[in-house]
Amino acid sequence: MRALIRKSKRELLLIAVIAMLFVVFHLISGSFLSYVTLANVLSGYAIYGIMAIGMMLIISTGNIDVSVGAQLAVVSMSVSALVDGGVIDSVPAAVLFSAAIGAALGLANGLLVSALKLPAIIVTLGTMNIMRGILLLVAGSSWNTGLPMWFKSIARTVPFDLRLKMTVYIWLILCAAAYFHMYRTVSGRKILSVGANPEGARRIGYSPGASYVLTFVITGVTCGIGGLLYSSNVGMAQPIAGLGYEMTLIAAVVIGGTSFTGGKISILGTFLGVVLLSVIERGMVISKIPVYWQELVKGAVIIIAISLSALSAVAPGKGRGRRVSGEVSRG
Amino acid sequence: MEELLTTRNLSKTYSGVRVLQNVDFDLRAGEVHALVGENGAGKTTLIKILTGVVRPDAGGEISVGGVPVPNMTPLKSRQMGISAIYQDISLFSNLSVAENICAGLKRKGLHNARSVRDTARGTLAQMGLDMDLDARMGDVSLGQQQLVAIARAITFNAKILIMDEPTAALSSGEVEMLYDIVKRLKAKGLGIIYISHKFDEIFAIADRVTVLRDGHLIETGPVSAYNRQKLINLIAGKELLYTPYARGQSGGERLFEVEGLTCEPHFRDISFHVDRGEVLGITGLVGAGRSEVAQCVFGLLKPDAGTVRLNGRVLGIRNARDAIREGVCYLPEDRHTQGLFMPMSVRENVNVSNYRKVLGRFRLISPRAENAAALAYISSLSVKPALPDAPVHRLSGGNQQKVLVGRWLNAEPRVFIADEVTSGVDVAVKAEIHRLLRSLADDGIAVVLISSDLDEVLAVSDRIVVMRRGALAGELEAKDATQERILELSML
Repeated sequence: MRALIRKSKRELLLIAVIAMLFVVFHLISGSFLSYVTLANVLSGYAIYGIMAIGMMLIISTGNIDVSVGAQLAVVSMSVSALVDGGVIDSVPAAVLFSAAIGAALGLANGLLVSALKLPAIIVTLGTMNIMRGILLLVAGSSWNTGLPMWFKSIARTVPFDLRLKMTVYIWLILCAAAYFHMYRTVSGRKILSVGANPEGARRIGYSPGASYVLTFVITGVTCGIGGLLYSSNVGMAQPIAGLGYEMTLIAAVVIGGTSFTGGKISILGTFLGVVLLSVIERGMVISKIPVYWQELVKGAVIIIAISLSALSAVAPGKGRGRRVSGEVSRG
Repeated sequence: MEELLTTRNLSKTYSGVRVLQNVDFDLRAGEVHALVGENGAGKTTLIKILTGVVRPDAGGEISVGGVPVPNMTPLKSRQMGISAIYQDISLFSNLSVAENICAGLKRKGLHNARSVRDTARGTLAQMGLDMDLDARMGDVSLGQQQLVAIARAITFNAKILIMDEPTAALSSGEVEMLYDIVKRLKAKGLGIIYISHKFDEIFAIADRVTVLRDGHLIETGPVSAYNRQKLINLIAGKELLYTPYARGQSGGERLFEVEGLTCEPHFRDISFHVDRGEVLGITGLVGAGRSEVAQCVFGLLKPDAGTVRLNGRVLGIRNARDAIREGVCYLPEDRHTQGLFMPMSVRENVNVSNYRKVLGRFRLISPRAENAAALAYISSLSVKPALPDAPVHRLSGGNQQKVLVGRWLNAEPRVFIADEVTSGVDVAVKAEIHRLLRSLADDGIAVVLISSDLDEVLAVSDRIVVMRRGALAGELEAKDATQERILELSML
């Protein structure tokens, strides 16, 4: 039990902070501490939660993807157009199509990063602009609002009478899938190993590039699912959908304890990171704090989380150990 | 003669390991003072202390020109005229020769190309050199870069010049030029600390010589009082640190064989073999190409020529994955950057080398099987703490090394190549690892031990291959081998 607590320090801290925020916002607004709020907190940020799983994997290998919002928009626009035109007329077709488009976008990002060995931030900044540019060229500022009911109900259904939208269940299922992939399959272990030490991974026969590509493809698929659920949820598609998502996702992942130095992920931590950001947003809305403040608070939270993880990355004495082995060859 | 630099009681301890002990060293104006010793004898640490890169243990004293310097820093060291010229020269390859010589000089106002060139020309003239001032640094030979580095030190008014194997990258003509420059600098009253493994050089230009061994200053004296043999004896020392192990019975069955392996520019025409029950030691100075041979066998470097055989069958290894499939394992030199996954658990680090053993239903990793495998190595190698889930970065250096050994044993090796496997681990763990290597050989695994530690090589190996500058320098039976013989082969 004690070992479990030590191992999950970050997660326990996050749960405490979230609980505290619930109380604080309750005191301010008079009506926050309720199951309904919790259900809304989860439903409101489920799409972020789904996409954060992909972002977590990318960050754990030392890369980053800032084109996630644009990927969501591409999928959202294209699936809506096809549904509108009657080409796609069933839920499975919509899901498959969205996931495939997302995977293709992720594959492009991943190949550029691993084959050309370009920094991921530059590559994905570029692809982000390309994707947004194409969307605006093709669609202009037109909004696709005539989506059929069967499509809108994909995300909006509330099964089991728990006040949780379908998106929340999909989020939880994908978290479980990520858990199995990362902890119980060789492919997941390879991603962790490559993140921890690419040279060491190469020396036991792994290909870091292949793992990088896989993390981008997985992220693409989560963006695809996110894009589908986004247009289903809001009942329309627009070229600027998903604007600024990348910062929210990076914040959630870093708050959750995944660090850029690699080799360590926390699926529960990322989940809680998303919940925390959702609580902050909803609490500020209910407390009638002007919307501009939210951006400011989100930025501050990101910087605090990144500084904390940078500090704790220095602490285990990595550098010191390396120096000893480098300089002392005899006792 | 005037003392430029003296040290008293200089010691340095790295996490409990003493690498330098009570060294009293001095350098006079106008002399070339050679510093010799094996790899790890403490030469580099001494230089690092003098240049302020590393802080000595409390109680050590450094005086420059008779003035004590209590807290040496790189900046102070530079200001007091101490300048080190390293093997891997740190110059700006995109700037010109003249700009390199003057880079960092304090000047007022705008960049003045003419004054830079004048200063550079002046310095080169003092050294008796004629070089193209406008050549781009990246385009000139390594030898000329070395000369530019020296010119730079002189421009900065260096009084004490430290040269670490300055002739390593030089052609013979350039070596002559370097000797000439060293003589001129001597005549100007500079003191030069000259680190070298080449006896010819030491006898050609040094005035005095200091021998370091295991962090102790063994002797200092005029170079005329020594000959080659006497220096070798002093460098090697007499006593053996480890008791040799009982040799295995070599039935003469050839397990592993490397023939004519070449990988330019690292090494050429390397051949050796390991028989059943044998441990083969490969030694030589740092930079002799030992690790590169292992990396080439393991598929990390692409060979230009040569064959590798295991049980008579030629192996076509193109990458690490092929090597592991064939049962060739390589325990790398640097466990931090080339081996372990530090934030991950002992369990994960051990099992990465062989997932086939722990895959259960639906090809999912079975945590129970993984735990069992990890615990097996934790107990057989006595890793502490005995927790499979502990992240590796929390373990001590010796235990980290054991985890890495466990990983490669888990791969079920038939050839086990260990590169500096005991570096940075304490004596007790060293002995354990030595015992393990012998027992692997007894179990019919071809063991290759790459090491700079001659005591270790002599204690563990049955035969010893010595490399020198990318070539085979000789092969010795362990029973005929001594530290002196090995040193003779590895130095020139």
